[in-house]
Amino acid sequence: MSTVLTIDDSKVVRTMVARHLQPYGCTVVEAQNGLEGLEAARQHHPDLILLDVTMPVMDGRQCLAELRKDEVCRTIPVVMLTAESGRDLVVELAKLGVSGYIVKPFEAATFDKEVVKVLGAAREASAGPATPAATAASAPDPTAVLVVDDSERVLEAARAALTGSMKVLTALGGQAAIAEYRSARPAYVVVDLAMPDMDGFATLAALQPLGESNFVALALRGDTAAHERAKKAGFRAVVEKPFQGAELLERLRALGASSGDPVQAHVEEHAGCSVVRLPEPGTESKVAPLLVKKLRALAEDGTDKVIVDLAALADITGDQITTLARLLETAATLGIRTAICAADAGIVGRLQQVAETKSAPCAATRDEAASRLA
Amino acid sequence: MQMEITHDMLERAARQVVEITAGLAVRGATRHSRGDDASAELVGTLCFLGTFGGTLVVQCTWQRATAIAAAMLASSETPADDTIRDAMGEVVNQIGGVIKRAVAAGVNEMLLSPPVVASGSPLTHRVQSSATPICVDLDLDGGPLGIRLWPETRTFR
Repeated sequence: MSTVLTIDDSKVVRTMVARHLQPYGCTVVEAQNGLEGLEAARQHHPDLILLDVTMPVMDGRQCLAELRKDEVCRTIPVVMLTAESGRDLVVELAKLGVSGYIVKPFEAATFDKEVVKVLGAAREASAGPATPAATAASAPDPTAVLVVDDSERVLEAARAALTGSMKVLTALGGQAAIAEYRSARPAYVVVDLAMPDMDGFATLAALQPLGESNFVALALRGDTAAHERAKKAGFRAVVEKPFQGAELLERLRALGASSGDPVQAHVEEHAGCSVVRLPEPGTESKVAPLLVKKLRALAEDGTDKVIVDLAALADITGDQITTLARLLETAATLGIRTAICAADAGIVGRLQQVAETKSAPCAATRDEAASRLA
Repeated sequence: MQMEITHDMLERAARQVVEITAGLAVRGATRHSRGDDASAELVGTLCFLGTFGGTLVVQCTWQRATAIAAAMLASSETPADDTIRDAMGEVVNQIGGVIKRAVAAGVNEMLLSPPVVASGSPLTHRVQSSATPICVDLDLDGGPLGIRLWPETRTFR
């Protein structure tokens, strides 16, 4: 059974959090300020800490800093749960190391997504040397994709595009997707947003708590409102319909779909440059050090130009920004020139607010980024 | 860059908090500029500090505050007085946070003070400010929730 420590000066918030955690069967420990939270963390060794920022006695910033200095508590995942979200604060907390950021007021689906991300990993870690069957049951299949649409024609087009590169499952509608997902646990799920009875958003909300998969939305071409909604709901990418088969495969590859090597899936070549994609949220601690190592290997092989490709991202997390900053810093010390490929205005705006990333040249496409480095 | 605080922004922030955190339906809203209007029984206040400054006040009757607290706790029991004040503080804090994100996004840092909640029957409160307040009354079942914002400056660069 997981233990979650909730640190907030509001008893009402702590009660709300405990209620949200009920379905997970956790033991919930409460603390009303950062100092009590530190003591509770040392005593209970929780699997997750939910931490507010503005508190008396010791605020969340100081509490997090102390946790990261503590030999026993430094590796406990911390998800911020706060009404505060200033960019300097977010960057500061990201540097100290947080596993997620929930801004109040929060929807239940947002809370669940952040908690499952951490508690799911905690459950796998605490299971010890897992049997292959146990591992298969808990981890998504990285070679499988589930395509969900109410049109058999679209499902057929997806099968044609992806078979040969991936194991393709299909479901005619959201309800059918739930059963298909439970049996196969694909790492990638492509969902049509506009389906009758159970639309893409309802399907996402139903599937997200079941496992840690990457969700891609299928939206009508030009429907920017749907794109925005999809990003906010938690879809990692949006593909417009009608889609080209190669485009769908490329978007899934960009999410690391087709390779078992956690690093190789993030590195490729384009126009004389090495292209690096950031680790998916939740995998930074595992993949980021490997990417740094890969940069060193690229430098030794004579690579002097790297494009960091963010084009597949619907949003960028604090942890991903931290990883990006680390990659840029490493590249600079190795004499590698870098450019960022990002088309999303929101992502570009966020990068401009971070000291470590705002000076890197940014382009909307890989070709433009490559020409900036030429 | 200029950013103006509007009734629309204030109403959106308040609705977001009431609908998401308390799960209450907002039937409507009235917008005005009468900051020192009727007295209330529970008043929550916080200040914005930084390039944009101001005072945010949320006020309502004790009965209204009780209902909001019970809704936040998803409980049919009447919460204790301290819990009701705690809930009001959280509502003020979250409305302040939403406004801060809207105002300060991508421009400048802005700090929120911790909320302060006062209760009494009845309370009369006044904010010392020459600014015209931005006021929204949310129409909820059982009575309105008043949100007032006195900006220190309406624009910033």
